[in-house]
Amino acid sequence: MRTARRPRRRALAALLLTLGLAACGRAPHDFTLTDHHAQRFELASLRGTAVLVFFGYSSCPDVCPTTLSKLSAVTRRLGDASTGVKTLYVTVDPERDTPEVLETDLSLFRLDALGLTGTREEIDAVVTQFGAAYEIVPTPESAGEYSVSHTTDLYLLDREGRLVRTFAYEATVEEIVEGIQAVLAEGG
Amino acid sequence: MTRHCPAMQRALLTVTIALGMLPLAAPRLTAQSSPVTAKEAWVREAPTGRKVTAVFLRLENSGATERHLVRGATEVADTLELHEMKREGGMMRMSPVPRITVPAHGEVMLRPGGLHLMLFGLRRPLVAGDTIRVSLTLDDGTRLEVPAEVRSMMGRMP
Repeated sequence: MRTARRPRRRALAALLLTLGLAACGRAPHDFTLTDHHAQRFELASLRGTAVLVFFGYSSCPDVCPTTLSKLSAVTRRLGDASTGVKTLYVTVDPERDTPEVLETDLSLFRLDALGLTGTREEIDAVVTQFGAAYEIVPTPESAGEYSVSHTTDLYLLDREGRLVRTFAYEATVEEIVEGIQAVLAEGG
Repeated sequence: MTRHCPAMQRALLTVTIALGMLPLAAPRLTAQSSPVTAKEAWVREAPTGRKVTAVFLRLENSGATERHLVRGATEVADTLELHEMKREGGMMRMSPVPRITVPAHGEVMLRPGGLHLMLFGLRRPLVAGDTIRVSLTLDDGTRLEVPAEVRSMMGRMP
């Protein structure tokens, strides 16, 4: 029976490793953009901190304010533990969202967040890295001139910058809090 | 008429009082006579520098005919447009719509994640607790004057 069990154990270990790798995402994420203080920002500078990333734009009437409100509630719920997590709000509309505009936007929320912008190429690279997407839609009939359709997922990175969870727009405050607590509970 | 009739006098008095009160009771005949009413209107706050925001409300129609909201205006912004958010192909899309239908004996909700009124070119900051005035026009020409409370960004949770 012993000999028969060993291969099974090995298979189990391999399965767990595969699942673990899949759950933890692949390589750690990294990118460089410009923050809302107009300083260059490197994701690698946040190693040791849990990170939430989402994409949006400041002319967004709805999704982005709602996500930021939700994350403010997450911060409140986390209490002291919230110092272990940083939110990154990456604009997909860099023409309109200068660092000043992003700073104004974030001033409305009680949340440890950085607004990030950059050149179109820099932003596209980050969007691709996370498997997100956006599309600029001309709206000549509107004073807005164009609107930006975008994916609304929220990405949770562990302290090593690896993607551990993706939350849909509909995720509740509790689900996000639990996800962050799980990351913070890991050693390191 | 010279003969006193208390009942008639009382009736006349009642009619006179009622007539006297009429202009007070119905100062806006257009809006009052419309079966469409706007309720619970609110607008997201906007600090200095922010040029856009959105208004949300409920439109009720007690009439037997469906009506359409076709345009609107407000003194706090250059333009008011009717817009809709939709989830399509995994993306949230925002696009202008030509009209918003208020079904007969029904209602339509303008709320986050769906239909809303977009304000472009804000002329001043909107501070939570303030009230702005929004004027809405229906397809039959009715104009609804709607007060909308400015709410904090933090105030609305899904």
